[in-house]
Amino acid sequence: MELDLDPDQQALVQALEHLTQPFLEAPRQGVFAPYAPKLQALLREGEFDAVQLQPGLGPLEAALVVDVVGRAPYLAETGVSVLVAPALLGRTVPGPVAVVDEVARPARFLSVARHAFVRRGADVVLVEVAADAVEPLSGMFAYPYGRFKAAPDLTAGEPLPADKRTDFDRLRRVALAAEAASAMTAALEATIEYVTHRRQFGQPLGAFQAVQHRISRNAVHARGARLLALEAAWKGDALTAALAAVYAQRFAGEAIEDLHQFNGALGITLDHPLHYWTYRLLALQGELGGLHVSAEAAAAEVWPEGAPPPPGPEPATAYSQLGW
Amino acid sequence: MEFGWSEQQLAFRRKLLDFLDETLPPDWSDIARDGPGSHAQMDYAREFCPKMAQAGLLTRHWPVEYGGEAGATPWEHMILSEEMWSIGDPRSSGYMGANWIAPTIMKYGTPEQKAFHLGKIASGEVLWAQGFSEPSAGSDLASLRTQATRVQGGYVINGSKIWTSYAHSADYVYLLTRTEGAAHAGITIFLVDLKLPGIDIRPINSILGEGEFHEVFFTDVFVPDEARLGEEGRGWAIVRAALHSERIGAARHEMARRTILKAVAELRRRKRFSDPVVRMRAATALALARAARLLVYAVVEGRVKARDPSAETSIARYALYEADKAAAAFVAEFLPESLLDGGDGQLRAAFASGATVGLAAGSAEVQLNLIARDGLSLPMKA
Repeated sequence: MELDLDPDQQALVQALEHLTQPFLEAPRQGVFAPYAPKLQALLREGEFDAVQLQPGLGPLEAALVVDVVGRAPYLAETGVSVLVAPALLGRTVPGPVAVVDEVARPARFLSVARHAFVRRGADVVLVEVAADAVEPLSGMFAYPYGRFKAAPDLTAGEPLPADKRTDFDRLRRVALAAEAASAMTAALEATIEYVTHRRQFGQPLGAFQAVQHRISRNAVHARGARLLALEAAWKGDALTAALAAVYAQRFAGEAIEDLHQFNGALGITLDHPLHYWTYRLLALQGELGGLHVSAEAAAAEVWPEGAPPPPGPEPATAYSQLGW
Repeated sequence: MEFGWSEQQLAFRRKLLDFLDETLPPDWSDIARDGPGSHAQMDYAREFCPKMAQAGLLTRHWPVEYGGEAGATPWEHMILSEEMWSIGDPRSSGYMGANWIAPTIMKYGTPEQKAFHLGKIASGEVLWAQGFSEPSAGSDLASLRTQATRVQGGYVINGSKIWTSYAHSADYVYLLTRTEGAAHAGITIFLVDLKLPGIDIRPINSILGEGEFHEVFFTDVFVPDEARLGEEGRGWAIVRAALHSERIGAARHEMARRTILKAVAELRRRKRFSDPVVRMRAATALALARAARLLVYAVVEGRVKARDPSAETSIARYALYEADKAAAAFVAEFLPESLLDGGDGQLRAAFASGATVGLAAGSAEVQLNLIARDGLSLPMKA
């Protein structure tokens, strides 16, 4: 157990912070989902999408990429192209990479995607995405969304091997959790900055205990979500991944409500960066079926269907972490 | 960053589990029914703690010079806490002695205090109570008023403590008093034999079961100079360090996790675990326990690296509060019969613990204050 970043991980984070520096200033043109192709390209050129394929590194380092990049107001797709795809395929796939669970439904990043994992029944197929095959969709979520104009030709794609299909959802849950934790952290930091300087009733807003307590709760949840996501990346088991997604989706709503509340009307404007993170959280709340599906995924790992319950009474020491 | 256990740590956990399986009586769940402060559990701790000491497990996490094992780290301490607390802690208040009372004696005690107290704690022969809260000093602990007045050869103590767990059977109390000065200045700690004349202990009945709370009255209680821990008036710094340990000393994340698993096992035996809402609630409560575990581990990491205590402790404590509450709520909603006579004692005790977690060791709101001030540097009111 070692919860501090090691020197390699610190170097990775520093390099990413340097790379994302020009993308930290919120865009002023009033866009809702500021996808930055340049940031996406820099991540590819810097081989950050290949980080987990390097000797001695793994999915935890890929989750750190998602974590750092997700704090910028400008968007690049990292969850699938940096974390999910290399873990499944053992090679990188130029991003953005979208995931399309149902061909007729909108998917995050599909309007700008170069590739997509498309689910068809039990199969998952990786396909190239042509720009003219996709209809961009605008809406309330701070991601570029799109929908296939017609069902893509999956016969031309690369099917995931059957033994990788369960890993597909597991890794997506890790990516979701890492991305949500990152958005919660960035939104929280922006809010702390605001309530520290904004004065009402003769005090900074952040001096009021009613405000402090809710911000402190969100700090607990953002930190918990981040550690859970990183643990899930490191452990590589389906349960931890599901629990990480559950925790992030369970507290995303509270973060959205509280952090908007304390930024007042300003936080609702497109000129203010808050929505870049909170409206990502809104999208992530419903990703992968939402909290109830993530929770059932966790429940199915701990209490598999058909397995008989342990006969009672059990010894006091049943369920030690040794078997966990 | 990595999230695995070393072979040595796994072996230590196995050793603890083997010891517990060999040592705990078959009716442990009934003994644990009213929690670690109950008469039944404190009586059992008188048997259990010496056995644990003989097995070399009670204070294995102490520094080597005080009899601990070479190479043991704060991680071993946390493993010990997880395996004990998750089953209702058969050490009863023996955990306080080993967890935070002895370490403050190691750091601030005189050679004589170390010789007298550390050996007794390490052998498991004494149990302690914590004399902190007073009728007018609850969440604002530093406003305490129990007076220690200097006299020839020592001090005379007058005042009262309240909500004191374990007092009915404990041997010693770790007592906070006021000598001179206001608020944080002027607080002095004494290690007081509870059998001294002038000490009157009265139980307070609570909804949580027998033995949980007491009032302790001090009327002209003379204690010698040798009973004072650290310098006069410097007790707050000592108790702050102790509270940082205490806030995560009880591994409530592990109790919450096992409470859920135990409750679900019972629900499955009763064929009441197919409802998706129940399954979702169970999984969500597990997620809270898992997050709390990691936040607690972040504090342990700080100890391993000898970092100063920080708001990380309050973050962990608040997450423990949320996890414990979620587990207790799950039990009450989906397995209410466990809270009635004849139900599982450990589940009942875990539920009761959920009722106090937001109050003990600094209220949940105090933790949020500390996170805001020390962790997030939010502005303070003018």
